[in-house]
Amino acid sequence: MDSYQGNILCIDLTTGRILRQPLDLSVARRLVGGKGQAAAILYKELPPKADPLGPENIFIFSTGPLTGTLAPAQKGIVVSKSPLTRTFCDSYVGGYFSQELKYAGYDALVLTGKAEKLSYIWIDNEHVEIKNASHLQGLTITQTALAVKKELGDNEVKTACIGPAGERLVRFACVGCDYRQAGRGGLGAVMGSKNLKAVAVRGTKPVEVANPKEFVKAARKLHKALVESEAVRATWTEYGTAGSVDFANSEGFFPTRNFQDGSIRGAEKLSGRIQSKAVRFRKVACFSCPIRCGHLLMIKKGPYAGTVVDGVEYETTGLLGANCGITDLDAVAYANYLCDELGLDTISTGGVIGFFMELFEKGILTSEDFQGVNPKFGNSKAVLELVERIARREGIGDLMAEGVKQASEKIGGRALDLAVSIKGLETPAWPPRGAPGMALALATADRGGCHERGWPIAYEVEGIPGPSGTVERLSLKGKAEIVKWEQDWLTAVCTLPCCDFSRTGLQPEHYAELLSLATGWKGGADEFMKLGERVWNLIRMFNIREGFTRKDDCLPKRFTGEPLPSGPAKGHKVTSDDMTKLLDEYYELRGWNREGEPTREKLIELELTDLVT
Amino acid sequence: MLISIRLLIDGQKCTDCKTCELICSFKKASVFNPKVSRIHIATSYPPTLVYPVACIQCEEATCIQVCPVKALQKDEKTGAVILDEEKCTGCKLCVEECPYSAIRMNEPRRKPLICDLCQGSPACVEWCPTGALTVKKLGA
Repeated sequence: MDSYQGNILCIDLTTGRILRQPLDLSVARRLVGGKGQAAAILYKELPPKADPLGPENIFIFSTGPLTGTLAPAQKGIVVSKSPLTRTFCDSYVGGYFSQELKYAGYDALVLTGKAEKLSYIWIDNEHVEIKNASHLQGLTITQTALAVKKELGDNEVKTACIGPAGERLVRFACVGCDYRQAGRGGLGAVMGSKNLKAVAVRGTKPVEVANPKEFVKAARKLHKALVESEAVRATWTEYGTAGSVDFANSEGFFPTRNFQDGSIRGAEKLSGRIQSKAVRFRKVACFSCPIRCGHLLMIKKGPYAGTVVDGVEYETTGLLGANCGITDLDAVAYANYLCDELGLDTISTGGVIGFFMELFEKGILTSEDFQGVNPKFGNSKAVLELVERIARREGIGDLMAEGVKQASEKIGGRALDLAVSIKGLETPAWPPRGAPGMALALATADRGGCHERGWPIAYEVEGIPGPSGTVERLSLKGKAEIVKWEQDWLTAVCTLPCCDFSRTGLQPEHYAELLSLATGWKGGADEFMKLGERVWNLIRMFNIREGFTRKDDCLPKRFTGEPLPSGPAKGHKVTSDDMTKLLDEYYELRGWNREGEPTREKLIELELTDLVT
Repeated sequence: MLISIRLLIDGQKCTDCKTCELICSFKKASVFNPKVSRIHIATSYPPTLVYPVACIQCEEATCIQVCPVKALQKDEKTGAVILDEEKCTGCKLCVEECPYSAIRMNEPRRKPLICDLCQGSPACVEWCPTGALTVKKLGA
């Protein structure tokens, strides 16, 4: 007995063929589940250089051995090749969809092909059906979820849906799962490309663990530790992620006017402190999570009064707020709501709008291009209108829907110098000019420049000791080691899959213990870190096969060429020379050659050779 | 008079994390799945309304009165409604007649799910991270 269900559900939407495949135990032993399991499927089954929006792309909901148990801080994970970055892409989501899929008896749902007309999938334990969704066309995510629940006659069915943006293949469309979003990387567009409007699941099967008594005892200890932790309360519980606004703004990390600056006057109006007073409606948590960082908001006054939205997360305050020059909380919350309902990633949407606002500011685009919108930094009405145009690909929205990288390449010239994205992923609200470790983390993150694969700022600015002690903020020393350590640890957590926020309070040995008690997996903290390294290397091999090389592990010109105008790291940038040094050291620590490719010896050491040939 | 307890529920504090449902399903059925839990968090969509629902242990229990095979009775020690699974036929009358919609069916087993207060120390109360669930002692 272990906590896997032993089945993978595969659906070819072109032919309508439904297959149940047994879980590959040799893969589960080495890669565990979640991110690892999905990486193995994508590497093995996806033809190299496949069109991410073509029928051959593979779309995976991947659960893991801790999904559906009492393990604290669980996440759902959606994996595909990204239409935004063309890399491997794993996008995480709270809510309850992933657990329900496991209760229906599946460790993963693997989708290929393209349905003839707009469809949705209904999974009720063994019963699997592809149903017509023509009548759901154009509906928002909440409208879709409610319509599907009503049609199936069960309010408790869990849903994963796309909005109009996913249907129109916006390259940063999200997947909405029970009022939470798998935001990054445009996986909503992959669903749209398959003519798949939604997946609905109901599961009544049990999830069991190898050693139930000891497992629950260990889970209790961890729940308790998280509930009682002062760091968890202060970092996450009290104000949610928006608690970081004050810190980021004072330390020069708050993305302002397309990342031109690192702080904005009036940032405190977006902070968790103010949100909790002005708009908080109630606190919400993900499945089995005592951290409860989520907040449901209700806008209380003005033109958007009565709007309910889950947020406003730190990243959204940064990108849809300061990055567009806006500090009006109600407007940012309403933009957040529009993105969630139309099905857009708030981070990329804010990145794209900020970029286009700067193109207008610098005269590269003109009023004519924007047809009736005045895209000046600080104009919140323009942001709201552009969100709608992107989602519907109307006018300039059609170009914006391609994302910063592809839009900048189409416009060309000076636009290329103003484009802020890394491997095509719009940069999150932790621009790295005042933290070279963060620069390396963004440059080497697997799905493009992402802050959740490693967050060295904790060591560089907050002073937490790294694997070899404390480091100096602006020095390069010790940063590569921190980045590798963070990536391996967080990747291992993503195989369970649990939330990276649980890092506040929990250590590798804690999750190693839960994993052992759930599945009989053998190992402690070291093996757990090795697991993360193994999955990280497998994904690196995937991205290399897709054509990514050392030259793609880089930063936009804004961070390497322009000094930061304000804050404690004023005048600083991360130069190309700095990046060369950081990458050389990082590749060496990883056991990769100078081109950033894992060596044969490294692949043998990590037991990956049979998976990558 | 017997010393009994009641679950006190504060919906404002509930975050819908489902920890209570998970520990209940584990304690009562030795597995994890909220669908076999005896406490259930009722939510709206979007989740503006969140409220854990469990048997409130009515003085005059409708479920006991309507059960055609006398499978339900009050536990002498705790005062909680207890199900005799042997006698129960799975007819669902108790589910339909409960005035508080506090009884759900364990669909795979075809038996009603009724909170038995864990013999006086409810696991859900111990695990609830927010204090939404507490225990009140009755009697003397």
